[in-house]
Amino acid sequence: MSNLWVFGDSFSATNKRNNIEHWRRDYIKWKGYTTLVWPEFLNKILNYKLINLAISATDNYTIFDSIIDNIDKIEKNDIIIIGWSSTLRFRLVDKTNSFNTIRPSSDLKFSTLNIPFQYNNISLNTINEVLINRDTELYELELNRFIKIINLYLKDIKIVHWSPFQLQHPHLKIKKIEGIDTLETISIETNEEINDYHYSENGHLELSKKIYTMLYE
Amino acid sequence: MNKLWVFGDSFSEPFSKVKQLPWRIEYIQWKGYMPKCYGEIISNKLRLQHINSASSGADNYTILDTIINVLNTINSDDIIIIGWSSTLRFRVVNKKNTFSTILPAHITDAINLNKELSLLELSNSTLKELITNRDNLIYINELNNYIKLINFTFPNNKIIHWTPFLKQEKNGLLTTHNNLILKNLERVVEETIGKIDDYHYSENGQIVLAEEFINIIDNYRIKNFKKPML
Repeated sequence: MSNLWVFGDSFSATNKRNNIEHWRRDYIKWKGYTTLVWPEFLNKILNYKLINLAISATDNYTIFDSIIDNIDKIEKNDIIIIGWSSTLRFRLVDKTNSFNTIRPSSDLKFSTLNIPFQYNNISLNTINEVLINRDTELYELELNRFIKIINLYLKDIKIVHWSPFQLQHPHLKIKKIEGIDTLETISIETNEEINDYHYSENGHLELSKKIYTMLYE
Repeated sequence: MNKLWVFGDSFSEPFSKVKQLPWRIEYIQWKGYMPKCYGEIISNKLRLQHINSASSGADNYTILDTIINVLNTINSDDIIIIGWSSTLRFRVVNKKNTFSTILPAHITDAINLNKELSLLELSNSTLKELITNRDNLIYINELNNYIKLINFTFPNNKIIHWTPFLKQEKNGLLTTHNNLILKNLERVVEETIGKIDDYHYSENGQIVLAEEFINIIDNYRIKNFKKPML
């Protein structure tokens, strides 16, 4: 059986986990059941073995690492879909000696900037200066090089690169998803009862259809 | 003609790329001629076209970028040598909107760096904090992942991964060479008996390093990295 590999951030991560974010928990409670996300909808059609390695709130360096960690397990007939995150995000070593993603957001609820830092000797000023420094297309070009080497190594594999941040990062060499900004969000579906901008169940279903089309167009 | 691709930092760069490096200028003057770097020695001996993309002061992200930029032009019979730099080094965007590498020899150098790098809009404390954060083995793991990907991408090539920063190998960096030989390579400061206070390899150091690499190339067994298309 071939595998459907999914890498990415919270826009690709499954709801079927023990530790989930507040907004996921609230949304599942609001819906009354655990909703599916686009990889699960897509796999209903493909019927592959779904291996979803997307990690909520992650950065592109960690996504890249995750792909390399698994690169020797990918087989000829597998499908790979990579949802790249914002190039503003970066990672630092935290107090547990692990990488932790710095994740800005216009909505402070999602931002790591307003919570106590778990890093050794890193000030808020440093985080801010680095984020400003990263606000340039150079980091999109850096990501394009990651995409290039992945494509070269996996040249005979069906692979789709996309990003929920495609509008903020126009220089990325990814498949642009038409109408990505019109996908229904949790906020819209719940009439702002849950103020979250990830995709709703319907949004995920629509996205899965768009990704299916990209795979076979 | 097959090629020898060399990537890395100042330890892999030819002496002819004098740039603004005083030690290199002084050393060439002291020698009275242009010494050869290990890449030139190897390519002469093995009759390879030498393509040297090493750059003084490069960080590992920039080295990886340089490799990816030429991915499509590397043939399966070519030989690749990558001299990875210190994982303490990292890069930031400067006022010209290009990358600048922050390259401390030691963590305590960080404060001095920013004064020299007037192109940066980053404070001394930011640079110091970032360098301190990078003083962690997890960055060796990050680099090992890049090495893994390169090895998988070039399954039919002879590839040598090495680093002049010996502590990194001790800390688990997946290099191809024997660390012991690097410890004993002659440095510029030794050859010139302290007249030029620089710790890059001397001409003799480069020759011994080249011989070590030729030995590795001659005895190289192509690893059977699993490719999905096979």
